Amino acid sequence: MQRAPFVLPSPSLSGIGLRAAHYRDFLDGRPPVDWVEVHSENYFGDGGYDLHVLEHVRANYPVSLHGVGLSLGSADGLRERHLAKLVRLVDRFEPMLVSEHLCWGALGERHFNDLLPMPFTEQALAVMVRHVTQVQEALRREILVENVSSYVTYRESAMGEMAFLVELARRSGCGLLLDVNNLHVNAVNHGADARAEIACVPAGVVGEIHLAGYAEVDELLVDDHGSRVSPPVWDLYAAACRQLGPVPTLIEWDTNVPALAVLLTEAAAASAVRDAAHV
Amino acid sequence: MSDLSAMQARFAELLGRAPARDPAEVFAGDAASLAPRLAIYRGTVQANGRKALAAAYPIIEQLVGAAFFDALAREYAKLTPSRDGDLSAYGETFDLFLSGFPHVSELPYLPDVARLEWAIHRAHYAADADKLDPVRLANVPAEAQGRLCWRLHPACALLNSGWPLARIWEVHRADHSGDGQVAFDTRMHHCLVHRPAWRVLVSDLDEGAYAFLAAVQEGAPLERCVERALAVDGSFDLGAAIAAWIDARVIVDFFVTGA
Repeated sequence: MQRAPFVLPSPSLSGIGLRAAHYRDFLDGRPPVDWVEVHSENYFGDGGYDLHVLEHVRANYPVSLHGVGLSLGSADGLRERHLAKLVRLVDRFEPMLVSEHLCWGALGERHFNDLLPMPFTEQALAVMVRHVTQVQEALRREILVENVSSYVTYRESAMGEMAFLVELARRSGCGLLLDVNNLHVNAVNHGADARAEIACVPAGVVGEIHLAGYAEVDELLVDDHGSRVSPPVWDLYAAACRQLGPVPTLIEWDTNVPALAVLLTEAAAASAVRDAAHV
Repeated sequence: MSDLSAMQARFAELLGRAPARDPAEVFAGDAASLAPRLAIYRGTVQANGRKALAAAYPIIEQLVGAAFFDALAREYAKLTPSRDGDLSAYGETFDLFLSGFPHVSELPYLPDVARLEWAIHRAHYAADADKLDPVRLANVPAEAQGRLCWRLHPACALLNSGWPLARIWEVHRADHSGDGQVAFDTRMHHCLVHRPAWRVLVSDLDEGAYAFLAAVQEGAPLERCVERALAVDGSFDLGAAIAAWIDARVIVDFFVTGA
């Protein structure tokens, strides 16, 4: 099937994940940030306050919808009801970007509501290509697929995560969401080489970058989105900017969410790193 | 093990309570090094479920305390794991679980409080509705008024309970000040969950008002709704009640049935 290539939005953008703790800031004023991203599932309701706030924010900023529950990698197929709700939301808000994860979370009747890693095998790639294509056809647009943090790797994996994602993009026409923090977390947890992972990604395929903080628990890094971006992740981000050119970048913060000013400082720091990489 | 379905089934099994099989058949590393890694996933799954349950049931959490709520969430998850990628759907049957859970039998109001909180939770996500334009009402001919059927706001829910649910809700509001006492009695309490703007509210209903709105919810025409209200409360004031419910966006629409 022929697909139009993924079209990048304006690359010189730094955004933040919008969480309920900061609704008031966005209702009362216009915080200085280029765009915001929300978790799609938080707006799956038929109506109510969250959608009301998102309408208001959407009138002032580009919005990206980032899904955490579609379970693109489930071997037993996509959950149609979940996809239908995503279609409804995308139709209503016409977001700048729509993204999901390279992961699975649902099996049969059960949903683990977590981003469980995939094995990097031909069979898993075929499942992902089929499901990403199904989602893109339902949404009538391309999506971005994100690399996840993980605490286990599969014996059967025959390639690295970014190589798997690049092949997924080639076969399905999707773009990639590069989470630099996840690359670092996996590098520490599995002894992978984060720079080598970035090096195998061609410029033009990455539509968005995520930055976040992690926690260290018993010599493992846990991707908790609960602190500032760490120095090694800023270094990797600079490397990614040099390799990929400027890409819209988002600060994610989900646990112990601080005052908005802290997120805005992090977003400004991302802009500075990106600008410095392209002098 | 190379088949994706088989690997995911094994992963799911390893996320269960007492995984029997060696994780090293699927994952790199040995059983000892994999144990803490799988524990992170188990912990996240459990924490996400607990967080979703606490978001839907903040009063229950206050009533039993955070530590006991942890235990409730764990027991509930064993019997009723999540089935939806949207965690706001999780917890629908918590009232039934509490009814049958022996360790909370000394708090007999918990199941009804849970029913109230689920209604509030769903009301938060219910569809929006505009206020009813009174001009539309004025255009209904007098002879057709008895055949008028009201429509309630999609967020509305009616509950009855032996416990004073509206008062329990009121004293647990974040901005509640003053007396936090809840007096128990032996009568039946009726309440209305509704959403006049974006905040969900809970109001006490007297018997007549409850009978009327219950009839509306069943789709009965006005004539029949009034009969139902007057049967339990001879002083039911239709005009005042309708005006207040239109103003509070409880009643948001109507249609007139055929003669």
